Amino acid sequence: MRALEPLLLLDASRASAELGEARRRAAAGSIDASARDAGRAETLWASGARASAYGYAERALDRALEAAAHAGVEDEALSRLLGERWAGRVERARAAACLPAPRSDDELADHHAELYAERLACAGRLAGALEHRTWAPDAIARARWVRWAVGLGVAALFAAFALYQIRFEPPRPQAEASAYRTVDVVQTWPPENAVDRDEMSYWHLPPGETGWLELTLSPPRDVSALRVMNAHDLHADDQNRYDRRRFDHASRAIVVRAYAGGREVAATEYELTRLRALDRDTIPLEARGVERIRIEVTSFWGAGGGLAEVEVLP
Amino acid sequence: MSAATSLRRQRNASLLVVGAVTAIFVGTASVDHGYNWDEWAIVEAARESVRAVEIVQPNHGYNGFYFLCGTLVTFAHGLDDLPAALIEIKQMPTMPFDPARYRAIHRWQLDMYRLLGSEGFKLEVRRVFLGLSALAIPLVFLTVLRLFPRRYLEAAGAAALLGLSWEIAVRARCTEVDAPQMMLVALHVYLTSVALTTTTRARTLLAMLGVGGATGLVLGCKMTGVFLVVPSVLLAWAVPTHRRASERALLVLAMFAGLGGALAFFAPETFSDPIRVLHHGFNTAEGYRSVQPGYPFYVEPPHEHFYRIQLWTFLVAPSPLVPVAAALSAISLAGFVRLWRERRRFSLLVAIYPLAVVATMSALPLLQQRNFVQLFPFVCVAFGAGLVAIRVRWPSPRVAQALLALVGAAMLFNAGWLFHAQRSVRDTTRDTILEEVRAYVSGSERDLYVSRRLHGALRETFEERFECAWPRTEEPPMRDPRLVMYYTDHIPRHWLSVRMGFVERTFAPLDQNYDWYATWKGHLEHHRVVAVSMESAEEMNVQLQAMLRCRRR
Repeated sequence: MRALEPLLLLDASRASAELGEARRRAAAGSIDASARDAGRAETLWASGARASAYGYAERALDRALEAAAHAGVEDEALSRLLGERWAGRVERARAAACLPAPRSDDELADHHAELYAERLACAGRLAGALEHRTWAPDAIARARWVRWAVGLGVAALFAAFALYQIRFEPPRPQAEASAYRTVDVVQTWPPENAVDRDEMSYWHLPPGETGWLELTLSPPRDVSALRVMNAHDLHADDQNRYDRRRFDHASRAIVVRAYAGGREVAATEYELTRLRALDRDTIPLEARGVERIRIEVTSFWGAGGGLAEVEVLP
Repeated sequence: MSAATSLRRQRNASLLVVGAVTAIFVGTASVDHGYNWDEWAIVEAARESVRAVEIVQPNHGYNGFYFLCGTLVTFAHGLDDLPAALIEIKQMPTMPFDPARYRAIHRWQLDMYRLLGSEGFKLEVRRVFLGLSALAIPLVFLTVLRLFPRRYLEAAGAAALLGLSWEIAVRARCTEVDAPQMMLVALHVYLTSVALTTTTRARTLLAMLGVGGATGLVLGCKMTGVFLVVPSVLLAWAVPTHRRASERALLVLAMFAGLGGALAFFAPETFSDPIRVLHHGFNTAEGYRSVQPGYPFYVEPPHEHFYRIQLWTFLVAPSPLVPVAAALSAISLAGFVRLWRERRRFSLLVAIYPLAVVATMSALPLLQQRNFVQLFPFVCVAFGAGLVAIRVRWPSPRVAQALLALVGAAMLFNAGWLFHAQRSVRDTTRDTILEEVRAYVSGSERDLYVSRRLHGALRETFEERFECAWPRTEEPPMRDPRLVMYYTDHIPRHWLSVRMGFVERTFAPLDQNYDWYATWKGHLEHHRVVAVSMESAEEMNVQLQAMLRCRRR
């Protein structure tokens, strides 16, 4: 239940009810005063008025301790509220009140600066721990609703994302091909490029040749269609510094065959066009328990066959 | 609601805003934005590093930080081969060291050559530059917060101004050192504010070490970083914790230790090869000095250069819409005043660098706006200060709400533009460009000068609505004409850049602000269509005799 406290706010309602309206208001007022003094201290420090800032930091801690007293948190209860370490720090910061305060910026020594930072940290910590206790009952109810709504909303988003990943993002198929085009060790157009979800990378057949691309689905799955993007030279300017011929590959007539249990279970013929925009063709292919899909390129546009992307639709 | 609760909510909201802005900045970056003419330098340097298995650059085209980003990518790809390579080297430690002797290294080199020849490498390097540049957003947030404690929303506004600026986003996604340099300048500004406001002497010493490190990193990006040395040294006299001369000397020493350490790590050639580094620096300066009128980026020094820098910084960079940019800049100007009045030491120190950069660059006839990206964090910090100034001057909650609504609307517009630009880079093709030009031509009431190639591409549209003919010696004047042509129909090096509104309309993916970088290749350079006024055409010496005259029917 402790872990759910930020959502349930049970401690806050209990403490608020125990305090009563008058003490709750007094504690809230002290916390506000502490926050204002801490803000003044930080602003003065940033502007270089460090001795004045020191005084406000002292006041901020005093006000926070005053709030604790209003909230019924006595000295021994501080460790329950803040933990042993922070309770000790608060105690030491309070005990250091006997140190003479600097009267000018020139008198402000390193130990004053450390004490200034420590007082602000303690005041902030104490005020933060007490804040929930000083909320009015209706504010607690409202905060509870808001936190539940936000928590559930975030959880729903995560759940939807996880569900999408599990249900709608099947593992990518493995791609093999009868052949692929290579110029040298750097310039190659391998079959993996057809399933890498990158519209700007392509599988190319060697120039002038027909051939096939085969996708292995593991585990086997039901298939309703293929979504195919033909190889293209869109954006070719960006990639090859104006040698458009390098990208003059695109498939034309293709035959798609699906295999399950070692035999052909579906086949369809399709004619692809040369792309003028980054469009995909959806090719119906109904089959169950498909293990592999073979796309045979029987004719091509330009210098040779090729495909940019192939997606298997469930 | 109590003041403490309100403050906590503001803090949470500001963190959410900074996170969202950073996500939008990175998420809409379109690193796949096409051809960058300058990228060969990093590819070749990485190839040389792979060949020699060396990190330090043997040839200097830029300072080391730029190359290190590319080298890091290649060496990161080689981490899995490293154990095998070390084992082989241990087994066969022959002299001299010849990488080709070791199979694991050779295998890695082949993999890297393949990577370096692919688009993938360029995209990975661009992502490194983008990621580094994005750090400027939280740095601006932290700086404003450091200067004006608990002003969370104002700090988030300053961070949003930087993170949602299209101009910054465009530069950050390119393989250019300017945007990472901007981040490092923002780091320097932040550490300066830390040194001035930190509590103890030990922390001040650490902050000075950091300031020195940031100075070294900026110097490792570009030579202009040398201007940061002056404020970094003067900072030792401005911090409140160290008053004696010996203490200040210690701070200066710490700063130089940080500077030297950063240079040694990120730009080691500064020490190993100082003559070449200096040679490159002087060569670059000479290149900036020697441009002539007619060059796309030529401006008259110093007045025109100075004027155009200010134009870009205050009317272009804050928002793609000039009135919005002007309004946001007005807040920044109020912020400069606020900073001067309330944070005098910080302002004096921090102003040295931008003033020195602007003064130096203004004296040169070559203007490239990317050199001034590094000044935008100053505008953003001032924007945060300006928001604080307005809140302090008019503390009424209504004013605060109105300010939130107005700044929020401007930022939403900027964010929307980033998404729009990202979709434009992704979706624009030859055909979509021609569709837009067709709509423009059909809707235009003007007569047009049209290039032969564009006329051929949209023949039906022109034949339906215009009468097109080659120019004759005697003919009546055209009605408020415009010139419409492909960008490559004119000599690319004659296109004038760095002029706001010089081109009336560009039909191209939003991968660049072509007003300021007309010669950028990017996506679909050969399909980019431009519509220019006759004055602009004349200024560029476009041969109108070679254009078809199309009179509206």
